[in-house]
Formats: sequence, C-alpha cells, structure tokens
Amino acid sequence: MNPRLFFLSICSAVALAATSVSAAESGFVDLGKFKPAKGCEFVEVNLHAPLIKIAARFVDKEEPEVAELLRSLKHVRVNVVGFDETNKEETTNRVEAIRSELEGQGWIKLVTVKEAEQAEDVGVYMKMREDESIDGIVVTVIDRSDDKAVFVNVVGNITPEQISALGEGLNIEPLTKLQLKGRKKSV
Amino acid sequence: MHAEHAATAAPRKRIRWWQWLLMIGAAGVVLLATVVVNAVTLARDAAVLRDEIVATLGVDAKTTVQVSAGPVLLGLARGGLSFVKDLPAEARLALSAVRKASVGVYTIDRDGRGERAEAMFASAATAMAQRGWERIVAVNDGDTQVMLFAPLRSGGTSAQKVCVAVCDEDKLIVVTGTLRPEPLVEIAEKRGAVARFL
Repeated sequence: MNPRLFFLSICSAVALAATSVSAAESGFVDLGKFKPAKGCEFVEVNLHAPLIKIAARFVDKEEPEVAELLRSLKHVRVNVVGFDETNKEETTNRVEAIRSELEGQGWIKLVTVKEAEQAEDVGVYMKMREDESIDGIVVTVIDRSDDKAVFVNVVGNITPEQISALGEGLNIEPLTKLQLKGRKKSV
Repeated sequence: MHAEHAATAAPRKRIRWWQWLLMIGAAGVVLLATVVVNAVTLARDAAVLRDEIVATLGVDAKTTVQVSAGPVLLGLARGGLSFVKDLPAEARLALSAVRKASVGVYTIDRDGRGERAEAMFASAATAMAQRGWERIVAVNDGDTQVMLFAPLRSGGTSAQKVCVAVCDEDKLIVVTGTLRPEPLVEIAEKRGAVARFL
C-alpha cells in the first residue's frame, strides 16, 4: 500500500474517531439541525465540557454545588426555535419524532405534561445507567402561547437528586419543577 | 602561488557605518509600517467571518472602526492606564483579561436581514469550521443576530480564544480575541452576580 495513502487513512480514522466521540456517548442525542424561520426567534447553544468548566468558574464562589454539577457535564445543547404557520407543523412533528426515537432507544419518559390552558406541551426523558445515575437528559417543549419549541440535551454524570439543581443552574424550568412537585403522570 | 591568488582576489567590501544605519532605519520603517497596518486591519479569522456575513446578506459594509491590538500594544495600554488615578478597578481587571483583540465595526443595510438569518448562520458556520472554529451560540431575534465561535477543542489552556459577530439594526460588529477568564471571574465575584451562560 502506498505509504502516503496509509498515513492519510490513519489520520482520517483518528479524526473520525475524535469527532464521533460525542455521538458515541450515552446520553447524547443528535437533535439535528434547526433552521430559523423568517422573522422568528432562534437560539442555539452548543457547549462542550471544556467551555462548561470555564463557565462553572463564574459560579464557583456563590454556588459551589452548581459549579461542581456543571463540571460533571460533558455536553449541553439548547435550541429555541420560533415557529409560525409556515413551519409550525414541521416543528411539532420534529418534537414528536424525537420523543418517539427516544422511547424507542430505551430512554425513560419522566414527564409528559400537556397543559391546555397554558398551551404548553412538555416532555422530559432521561437515559439511566444500571447504577441509577443519569447519562443524559432531554427536554422538549412546545409552547403554543409563545409560538416556540425548545429542545435541550444535557450529557453528563448526573444523579437524580441533582436534576433540580441542574434545572436551576442551566435555567431549564421543566427540570426545576420536576423536583418540587415530584413525578407527574402522563396526561 | 598563494601570494598570486591573494593579489588577484577581489578586495572584501566593508559595510560602512552609514550603510548600517540606513539598513537599520529601513528595517525600522518596515517594522513600523507593519505594526501600523496590523493595528488597523482586522484579524484574519474575524475578517473571514465578516466577509462571509456580508457576502451572504448581499450588502456593502462601510468601515466605522477597525483596530487590532496584540500583547505588546495592550501591555502598553495597561501601562499607560496605570497612571490614570480614577480608573475603576473593574476596568483594569477587564483590560488585564484581554491578551489579544481585533475589533471591526461596520455599517450595513438592515433591510431583509432577518429573512436571511438562516443563510447567514449556515454559511458563517461553514466558513469558520474550515478555519477550526465551532459555533457555540447563535441567536436570531428580530433585527439582532449574534454568533459566538470558539476553537475546536478549546478550553484546555488558561487563555480562551473567541470570535463574535453581532448584527444589530444597521451595525455589524465583529470581534475576535484571546481572553483570560480569571480576571472576568473576579469581576463577576466583585459584582456579586451569578453569571448564567444560558
């Protein structure tokens, strides 16, 4: 085999392995790419462990428990996708598709709340290990009053007791509500 | 035979003192010109981001401000500011956090930009990915678009590189720099603010 070709093959394999580390991590969900609808709100945050650790330093003194929790995270991805009549159906279908995929992959459906009066549809899923620690959490929200959908994937070594603190630290309201009100039955 | 060779060999040219002075002066002028040009030119990564945004939006960008400062220039600025008595401590801390910075402020046409945000986000992410940057934040909110990039595999050293682009109404601001987080953490602690990055 051509030595140059062999060397390139090795480099490609290493690069591919490196980039696929996140995908191979249990708890990671490929939410796909979201396109902002014209004139609608769009937010995307995609942080890996090194940057999360830098952010943890900002809360170290005031909230050391939150800082410690943040340091245990490997990946945080948040997407807020505003929708209008042109992409409403596509967005809501995307939410349902992700939920179905998670259930098919053995994720535990922790909460499904459909509050008609608030027009909010919330789904919280988690990937648990045998020792009951959590590898990943996915939160999906369809907010019809604000015309937006929210997707959150947090990957890390999380304990069930830390879920509420995680929600407070990352400002994910469905997770903070989870601890205070306990488990809710599907509606 | 050797004596003949020595006699016929060309005399060795000596560089006179004024020629040395001229060479040093010319080198100094070239160095000064390079420093000045670099100081008013946007860093390469930020320039690529700016060009990609402008090309995708299909607008002209009129330069308002364009300045770059490296460690030497910023060190001189910090030294100069040490003589300023009433400067807030936080300002000194903030300046000490910056290792390198390159800032460009431009005026662009705002019409229809919100509709082209998707294309702008996609093309900017592709262009920056080719230069080893990963988009970590993207925001589209009416007339405001924000993109924040960090190098792939960043966070391993004490200094963090960032590249930010902000489109707000008729302004495009592109900034790239290298920051030390420790002084920023100190500022946050002094203000008693718990920083939320989400």
